Amino acid sequence: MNFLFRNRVERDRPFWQRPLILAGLVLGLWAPFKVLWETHIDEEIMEVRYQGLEINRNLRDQLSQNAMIGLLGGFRGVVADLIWLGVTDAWADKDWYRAQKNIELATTLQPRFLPFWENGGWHLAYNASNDARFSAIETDPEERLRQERHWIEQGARLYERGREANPESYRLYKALADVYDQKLQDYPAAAQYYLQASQRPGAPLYLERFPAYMWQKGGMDQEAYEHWKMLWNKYLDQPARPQIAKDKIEESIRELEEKLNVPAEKRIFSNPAPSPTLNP
Amino acid sequence: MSSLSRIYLIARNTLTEAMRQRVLNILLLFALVAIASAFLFDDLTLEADAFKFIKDFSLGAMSVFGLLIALMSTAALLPTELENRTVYTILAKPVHRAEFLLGKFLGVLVLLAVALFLMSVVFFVVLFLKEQWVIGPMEEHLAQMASSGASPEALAHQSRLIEQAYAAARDPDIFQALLLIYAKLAFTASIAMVISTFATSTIFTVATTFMIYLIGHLQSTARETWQAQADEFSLASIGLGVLVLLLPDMNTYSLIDEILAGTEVLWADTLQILALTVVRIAVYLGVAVIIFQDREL
Amino acid sequence: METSSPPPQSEAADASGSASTPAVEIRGLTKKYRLPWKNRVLIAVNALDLTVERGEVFGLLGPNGSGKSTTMKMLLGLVRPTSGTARIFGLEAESMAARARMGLLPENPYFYKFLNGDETLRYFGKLCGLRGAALEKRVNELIKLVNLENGRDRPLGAYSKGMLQRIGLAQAMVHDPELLLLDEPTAGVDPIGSREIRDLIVRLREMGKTVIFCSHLLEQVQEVSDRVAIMSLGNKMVEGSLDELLVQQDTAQLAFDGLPPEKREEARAALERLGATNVRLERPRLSLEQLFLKAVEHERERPDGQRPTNEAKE
Repeated sequence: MNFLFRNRVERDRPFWQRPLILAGLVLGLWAPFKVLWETHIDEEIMEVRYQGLEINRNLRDQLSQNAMIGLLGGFRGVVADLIWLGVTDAWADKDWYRAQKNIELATTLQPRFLPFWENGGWHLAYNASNDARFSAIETDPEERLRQERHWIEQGARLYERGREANPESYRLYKALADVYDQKLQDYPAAAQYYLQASQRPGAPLYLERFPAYMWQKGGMDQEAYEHWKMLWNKYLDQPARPQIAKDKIEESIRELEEKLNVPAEKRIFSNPAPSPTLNP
Repeated sequence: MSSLSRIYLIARNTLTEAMRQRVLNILLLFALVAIASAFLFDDLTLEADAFKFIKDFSLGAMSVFGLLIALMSTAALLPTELENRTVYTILAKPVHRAEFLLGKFLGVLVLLAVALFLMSVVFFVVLFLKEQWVIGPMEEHLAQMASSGASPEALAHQSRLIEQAYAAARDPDIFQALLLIYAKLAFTASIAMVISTFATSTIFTVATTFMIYLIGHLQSTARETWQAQADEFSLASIGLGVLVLLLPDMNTYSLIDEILAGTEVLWADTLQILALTVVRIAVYLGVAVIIFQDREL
Repeated sequence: METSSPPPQSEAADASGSASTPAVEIRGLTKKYRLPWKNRVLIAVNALDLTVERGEVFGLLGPNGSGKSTTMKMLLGLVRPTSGTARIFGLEAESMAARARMGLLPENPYFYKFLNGDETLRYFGKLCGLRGAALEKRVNELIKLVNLENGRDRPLGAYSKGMLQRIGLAQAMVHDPELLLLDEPTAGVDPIGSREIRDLIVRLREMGKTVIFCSHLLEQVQEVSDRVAIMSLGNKMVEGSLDELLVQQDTAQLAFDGLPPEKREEARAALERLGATNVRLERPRLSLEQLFLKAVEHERERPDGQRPTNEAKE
């Protein structure tokens, strides 16, 4: 039993028959295969984690993030969840800086979990900004507006990072577009993000129309008209699209053709009444 | 009388012994964590979160309690046998030491499988109940909207939310996560097995295995650093090299985290990790047998 | 030190192999341990030569640390010798074939506490390849042999010391080995239990088994052993049959009844007058205890206050 401290005197035998030598030999032979295989699997996991996306970070950042993820080994989700509980807590206390810190941490730990980005951005761009705007403490109205703007931008920045980490999902593009539309009133930017969102797999159909609405809202009628026309042509190819969507497209095209004074020969709808013949 | 049937006998005996001890209490503790996680985060904004929390906490608890069972039971295998002198009675019979060791390890593997299976059953029950609880009202709401003549787009939106909640609740990738958790625990047990063949105390085995487990999680970082400075010939790089070559990379199992975070994972990746685990365990058991074969009892 | 041994008590022992091969043949068996932090080795067993014939009951005696247990473990392959060989019925001691022919009752045996008597025997029986009806039959035989009917369905955790020793003996015999090694079979057992175990050893001899056992209880060894060896600090001091070792050949014994105590001195004077010298009135047969103490006498403290040890320079 006292194997370590009461070593027997070895019997005479070739050195390679000693257990430590043999065990070392087995581990030594395994080592190169092990390193190659582990490296390979690690690369595949990175591929899964970042979906082949080269994230724009330097090696040091990446190393420290991987080290942190490694340290949590298996409990990353639990830690992220607990940190997230801190967000809800800070929200209740209206402590937005604490909320932001926790959101950053949770999204760093699990950048592929969309609700962290979605809810985090919503807290910053909507709740925090609204709170700053109607703050009971800050008396200077200009400072209030400045603060409101700060939080909206923080929220937009968060969505932006989430979008980078989840390029295949429409949800954060849509969230970004919503912020540009509802909070920043930057309609061209909102239009671009809705356009991007509508091109992602699994995006709801109605998002297709949103860029045009945004352009119209921003006074860029020509761009909106081009978009509607594009959609209309697309819908002609795909008769299965819902009627209500077609009606909305037709309505918008008619309205814009009037407004832009499009020459009759170039119009899609030359007659004023809705055209039943074009509906398949 | 074949070797296999002796290994089977020893494994069954090990399992019975473990089951009659306090292992099942740990499972009760697990049930508490799983159920608590279902009710703890009720005030959250999104339904998808609720399922994520249950999964994170339940699978996290499975990892912790599984690790406890794996470490404690494996580390105690040989010391208990030596202390009670039962090892003398068994090895005095026509039984190979390798058969004894493999049988003992197999017993732990089955014990871990049983424990993980029972924990999974609790987990799925809790998840199912939560699903009924969360999605039920959402579907009722949808029916209400339909009968009160809501717009098709609003209906589509609500259906989409329900779909998303179902997707979060019934992620089939969770089975891959469970398999990977088992693989991780089994591999950790095999590390403990190797250590215990030359350790003098249970606590030494547990502490050393746990240290290897922790360092193993930093392996990929160490390996990247080492490979980045491979052409350097410093003491630090040699030390790092030894660490990288000898210690296992536990981050191999971090695919579990990706699954829990909702990323879709390919079975091919999971199967490859399972294959690596089988080879790893085989190598480690080989080392354990080599050392144990020569050990003084 | 080789001594002639008595013929086997039973022919049944020679079921296989060449009948002339001894049950145990130890040649130059040595076990050394390196001491930590010291440039010295501990010689646990020093060049031991020992032969145990088939059918013998052999007592291995010696104080704690004399190397008895280490020797037994080397016979079973639990401890690897530093040098020398041990053969069991001509087979190498570390081989499976050798272990198939011997059974061990370890010192202070503890079995799986959660198993009852029957389950314990079944488990070990299965390990030795017994199955089905043959296994059940063997379990019943053994339970009867060691008289453990009351322990069949009681978990071993609730056994008394004597019952544990008896179930230990039963499991050692589960595969019907020809050689039994019993390490302190009566340690911690009350006198009645101790007697039962002694009777069992006698029965084993009647069955033709070869038995080697270690004990501190010299009286017991004396009662059942055909031959004994006494070890001290790793060395074999004495070996031989009890008759050879204990009977003092040049001493005669007179026995008579009715001599009043006050006449003792008169009788002594009369014997001396007839030429007898050194007339004693105690028993002439040396007790095993005396022999034992004489054999291990060199272990006592020397005048310089140092105890002898079996440590040596490397």
